[in-house]
Amino acid sequence: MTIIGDVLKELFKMFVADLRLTLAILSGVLALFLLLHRALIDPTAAGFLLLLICLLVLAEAVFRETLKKRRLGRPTDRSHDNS
Amino acid sequence: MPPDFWTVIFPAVSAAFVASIVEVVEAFTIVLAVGTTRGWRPAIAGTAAALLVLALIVLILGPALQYIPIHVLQLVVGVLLLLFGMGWLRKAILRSAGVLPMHDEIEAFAEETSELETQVGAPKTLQWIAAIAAFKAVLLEGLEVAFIVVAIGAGKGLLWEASLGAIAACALVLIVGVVVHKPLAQIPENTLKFGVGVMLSAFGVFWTGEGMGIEWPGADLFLLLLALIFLFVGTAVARLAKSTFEKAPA
Repeated sequence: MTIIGDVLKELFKMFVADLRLTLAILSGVLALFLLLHRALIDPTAAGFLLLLICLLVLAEAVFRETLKKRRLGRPTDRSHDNS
Repeated sequence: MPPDFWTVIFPAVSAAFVASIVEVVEAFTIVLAVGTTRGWRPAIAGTAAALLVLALIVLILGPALQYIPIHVLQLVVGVLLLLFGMGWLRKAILRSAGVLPMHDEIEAFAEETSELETQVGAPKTLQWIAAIAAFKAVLLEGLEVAFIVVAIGAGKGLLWEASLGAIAACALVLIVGVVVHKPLAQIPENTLKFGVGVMLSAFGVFWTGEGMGIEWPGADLFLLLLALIFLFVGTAVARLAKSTFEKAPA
C-alpha cells in the first residue's frame, strides 16, 4: 500500500509542484479557451497571450520562492527538495 | 528524412532522452546503494520488475490514447506537459540561482546506504526489503519518463521514437554506471533538467494552443521559437533570481 501511496504522491507532485503555478496556468488556459470559444479573441493573439501568461506565471513562481527563501535564509535542508 | 524531423521529431526524442538521463541517474544511485549493501540479486530483481511495470504503462496507455479525438488529446496532453515542464523549469531555475540546493547523488547514495544498513531482520527479509527499495526507486523515477514518452507519443504519434530515446538513455546510464561503479555525480543534472523543462514547456504551449484551435505562424517551426523564448526568459529569470537572493541580509 505504501508503494501505491508513493506512486499517487509522485503523480500529484509531477503536475502540482507549485500549487499557485498550477492553478494560474489552468485558469489562464480556461479563460483563453472560453474567449476563443465565444470568438472574442483572434486565435493567433490567443496563442501569444498563452505564451505571455506562461512566462509571467513562471517568473512569478520563481521570484515568490526566491523571496520566501531569502526571508528564511540560505538553503541548508536538502531532504525536502532533493528530487 | 521526414519533413518535421528537425522541428518536431528531433526535439521530442531529445526531450525523452535527456529527461530519461536525469531520472535514470537518480534511480541508478538507489539501485547501486541496494546492490552494494545487500547484493546484486535483489537490486536487479527490483529494477527488472519496475521496468516491466513502466513498459506495461507505456504499452497500454500509449496506443489507448490514439482513440481520443486529436484536438481533445492535444489540449489535455498540452496542459499536462505545460504543468510538468514548467514545474521542472521552475525548479531548475531556482537551483541554478542558488535558491534551492542542487541534487546531490553522493548524498542520496549515502542516505540510502545508511537506511539499508540500519535495517534488521532475517537475511531473506532484508533481501526483500532491498528489492522493494530498488523497485520503488526505479518505478517512481521512471513514472516521469513514462509520462513524457506517452505524452510525446500521443501528441504527435511518436510513441516508438520517444520510447527509443528513453531506452537509449537507460542503456547509456547503465553502461557508464557499470564502468565507474559509483554514483554518477558528475552529470550536469540541473542543466539537463533546465533543457528538458524548456523543451516540455514549449511543447506544452504549442499543443495546448493547437488543442484550442490556434494555428501557429510557421506551423511546426514555431515550436523552436517557443523553445528559444523559454530558454531566454528562463536564463534571464535565473540571473535576476540569483541577484535578488544574494541581496539577502547577512
